[in-house]
Amino acid sequence: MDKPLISINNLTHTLSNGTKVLDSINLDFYRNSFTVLTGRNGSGKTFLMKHLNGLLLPTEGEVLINNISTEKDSWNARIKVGFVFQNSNTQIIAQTVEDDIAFGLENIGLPSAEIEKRINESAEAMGITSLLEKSPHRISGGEKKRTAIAGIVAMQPDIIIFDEPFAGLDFEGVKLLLRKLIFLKESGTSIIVITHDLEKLLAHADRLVVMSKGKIVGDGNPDAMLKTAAENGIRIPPSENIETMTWLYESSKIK
Amino acid sequence: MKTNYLFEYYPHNSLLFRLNPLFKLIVLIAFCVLSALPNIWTVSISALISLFFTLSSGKHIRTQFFSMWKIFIFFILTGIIKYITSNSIQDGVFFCTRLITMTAAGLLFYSTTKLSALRRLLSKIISKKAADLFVMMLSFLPLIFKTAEELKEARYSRSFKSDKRVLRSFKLITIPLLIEMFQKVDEMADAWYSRGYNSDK
Repeated sequence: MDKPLISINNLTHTLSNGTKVLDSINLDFYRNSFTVLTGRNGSGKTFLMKHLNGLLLPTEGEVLINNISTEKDSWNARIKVGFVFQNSNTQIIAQTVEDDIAFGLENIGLPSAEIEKRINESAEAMGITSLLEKSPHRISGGEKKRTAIAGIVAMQPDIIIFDEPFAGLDFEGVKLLLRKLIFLKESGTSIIVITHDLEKLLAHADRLVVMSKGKIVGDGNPDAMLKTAAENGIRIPPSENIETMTWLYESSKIK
Repeated sequence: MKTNYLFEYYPHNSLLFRLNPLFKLIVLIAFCVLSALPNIWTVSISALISLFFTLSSGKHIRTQFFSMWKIFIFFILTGIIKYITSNSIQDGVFFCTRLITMTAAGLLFYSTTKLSALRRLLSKIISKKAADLFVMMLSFLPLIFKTAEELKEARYSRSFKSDKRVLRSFKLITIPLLIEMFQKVDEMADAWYSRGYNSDK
């Protein structure tokens, strides 16, 4: 088996008031994988993912990104693991879409020619080339989401985490975003999606992880994990045949 | 709903937008110093220049300038109080002209300058950390006005009237705005760090 891209060993995160938000988590994430992470609100999903991006550090245990601990080098984690926030407004920080995509690239220290090339590539991939000169405050919610993703994709991380990517999007926005996710998966980027919306993604995922009260309560093939998800308060799709859940993606391809 | 938030950058193609951001910053500082000098000519000339550029720099900057009328009234009142207390009309006029001039110049600088370019240039002159802090502080400015507007809209949508009781208005808008701003500082820091920002690299 390949070496894991991310290795989480006995990760525990205790808040200053003594609450254990994450409790003895052990997980590995591999190259070219598509993982869906689900669980009730407050189960610790976003908390866990912030550890992978080095935004949070473990109070016990360790998170290794390409075998380097986030505690030793959190910058490495931020470069290797992209994190698309649930609220794009939070993530977008520059005055134009172009500058926003460039922000991460400048932080990596790329030369300006490479920055320009990557801006154009990622904007094209996300279908926002026409928005590059616009103010991010003046574009729609779906466009903001794609701008936030373009900013991360341009950094070419090994793995991208999406926190509730479909939240607040209309049906067309959901279809467009799903197409982009599948495109990323097919171009070799490992993906982790935090969602309650299993129906939209499960047919494309090769792993479903279920969290409850800061613990991993299910981890495996989506088919096998559906029951566990249901037991932990997650609404599972009406049809339990995962193969039939590609309808959204199929419909997104029809012009 | 407002379509124009104070200190919001609008990409545009004009001489002011194309000028070197550092040059603009130096001019802004020089401008503020000039308008602060106790000389009728420097104050008048700087006021005229800043008003000329503000009013001729496109619709969105004009709209932003005029949307600050409440602030200007406050400045004028401050000038009147200064006139009453120091007994010199010149003092009062000077004082409020200076404030309006500096605000207009600041607005002009802010609305026509790409902060990313300013950040790059500043980090070559002063330390990277200081440049980043300065730009982060500037990028926070439009967010304050935008959030204040959103908070007001949320209150108004529930039949709140701001002109009724000043203290209640303070409690319902200013305090939540402060709390929201502290949260936004955290979120902004997370957004910077999550995208590879490192003040030492």
